[in-house]
Amino acid sequence: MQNITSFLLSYVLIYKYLAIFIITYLGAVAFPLPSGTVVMASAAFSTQGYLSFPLVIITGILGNVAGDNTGYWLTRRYGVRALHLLGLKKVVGSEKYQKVHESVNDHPILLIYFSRFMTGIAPTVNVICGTTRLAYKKFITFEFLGECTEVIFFAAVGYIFGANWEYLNEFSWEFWAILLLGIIFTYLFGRFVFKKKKNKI
Amino acid sequence: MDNENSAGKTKKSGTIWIILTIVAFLLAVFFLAHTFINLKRHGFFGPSSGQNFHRRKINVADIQGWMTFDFLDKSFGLPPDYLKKGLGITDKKYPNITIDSWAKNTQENPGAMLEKTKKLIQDFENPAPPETPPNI
Repeated sequence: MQNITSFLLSYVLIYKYLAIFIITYLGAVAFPLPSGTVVMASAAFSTQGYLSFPLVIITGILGNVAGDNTGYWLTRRYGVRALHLLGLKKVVGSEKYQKVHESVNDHPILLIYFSRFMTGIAPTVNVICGTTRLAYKKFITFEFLGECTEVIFFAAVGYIFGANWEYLNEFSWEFWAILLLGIIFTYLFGRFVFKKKKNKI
Repeated sequence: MDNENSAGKTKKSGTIWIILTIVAFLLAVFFLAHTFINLKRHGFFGPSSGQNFHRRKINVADIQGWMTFDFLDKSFGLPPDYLKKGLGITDKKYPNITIDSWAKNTQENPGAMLEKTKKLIQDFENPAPPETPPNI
């Protein structure tokens, strides 16, 4: 991973915003690239005066949003056809397929927004949203908000800590784990309190 | 009988939710403590933590092979041709080439090239004092 990151960062230093856009785009489509790390490092480069901090954020968001949209529209247009070609014709009309569609439709925040923070899961969610033909307005709203949060988080870490970004990058997964577990705990605790109150009434 | 069964199921699912809540809480606390200890060990919360961590600028020890000469020029405020002359770079792409790619072009060891670059930048930052003429 360290070698891939070094390789990508050399391109960021040479091609600047174009490289940031392409890396974040490919990462959002489905390629396993460390796009969060690249945004963090680019923001750190901006503290050296080498790149512009607002442009790093804008390019990072644009690349991610464009990549997510590519995944969504490709599978929305050709997803069902691809399932037919793969011999999974029965899946499309099945009850389970319908249930997946309903659960995506009912919990867009949970699925689309939070999946943006998990680089490995986000492209899969885009495919699910596209194949089940989730309303585009709903998809783009939560996807855009999620990408803004993710890019701003990574960029802020890089900007605040400057040349220490590499060291903090080692812990970045722990920060996400704390955030995610905190959200899960709040949800479960809220559910527990809410249910208790409801039972009393 | 059915009512008893459903009450039992509700109680069981309630217990599972409580266990999940506690597990999520404990894991969050564990990761929080782990991160805190690691950051503290590396001087994050020390008296000079602000100086060490807040928007820290790159120093010679941070230089790596994937960095371009252009980035180094701008980061250390070097004259445009300082590294070019110092390392004898003839590549037309200069300064948009990395230390590693220049080492590859010249078939030199990348580690040695990195050290040479570091030394040149160090010399620029701390120039040797001019030699004083001997007293006559």
